[in-house]
Amino acid sequence: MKVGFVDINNDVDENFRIDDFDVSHMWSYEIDNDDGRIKKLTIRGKDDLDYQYELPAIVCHLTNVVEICLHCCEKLPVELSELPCLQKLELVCTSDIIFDDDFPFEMVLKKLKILSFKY
Amino acid sequence: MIFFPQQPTLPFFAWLTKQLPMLEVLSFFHMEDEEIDPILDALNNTPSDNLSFRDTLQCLTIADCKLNENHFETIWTDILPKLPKVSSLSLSLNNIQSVRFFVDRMQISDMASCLPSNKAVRSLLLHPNPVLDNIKKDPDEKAALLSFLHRFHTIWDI
Repeated sequence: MKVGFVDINNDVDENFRIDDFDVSHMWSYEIDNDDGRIKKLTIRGKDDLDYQYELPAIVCHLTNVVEICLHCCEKLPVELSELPCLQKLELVCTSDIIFDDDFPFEMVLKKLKILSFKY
Repeated sequence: MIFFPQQPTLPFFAWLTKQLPMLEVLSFFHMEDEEIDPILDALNNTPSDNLSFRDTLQCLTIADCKLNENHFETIWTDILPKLPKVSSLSLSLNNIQSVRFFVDRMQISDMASCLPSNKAVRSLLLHPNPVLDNIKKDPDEKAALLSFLHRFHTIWDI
């Protein structure tokens, strides 16, 4: 496996060391070798209000995604229902989701086999 | 036995029990009391027929969530019977001190006759919990655990 970084903000100079990289801003994915579509998506974060985020509804376009792992996500979109292959959902440091008055009850995850919560 | 408050009305709890028709593995790790108690409450208070994963769930893990022996009794006698396909129950890294009082009550004939058999359970992971240290020091505790395993004889992994 090869790992690389894209410095989209042009922040990195020649003194950059891999140890300096802040994983709290990192997201990663695995693709299907046959068709290049994303099959696993991980979004990391910190247990810090400044780093919490709402998973955007546009995630429903990842029609081949099988696994999603979310750290510090505060809201899930009902559009997760539209992911036909989603089998595993891992939620880390996401207690706000549990106590969200607007949690999308109507979200049916028909293919989900594995659900885990970690703090 | 633990008595939970009224079933939580937050939409998450209704979703968890009703909208996951193919779920096979459900896990909770390192959660706080105020998080895990309402989850157990929701599972406890939802009728078996209304649990969407009633016939699919095979593995339930509640680890490092500060569960005690009252939680254990509730899970075993009230929640697990609603999930007849669960073959693996993992309660690792909790604070279950003893099964003695549960077994004592179990051996009262009225309770024994109405206890669920939980026949599908093959694996009950309790390691590490204080009860597994206590059986080395306390013969009564050891006898109670053996009695429990004798009663629920499908368990081969603990």
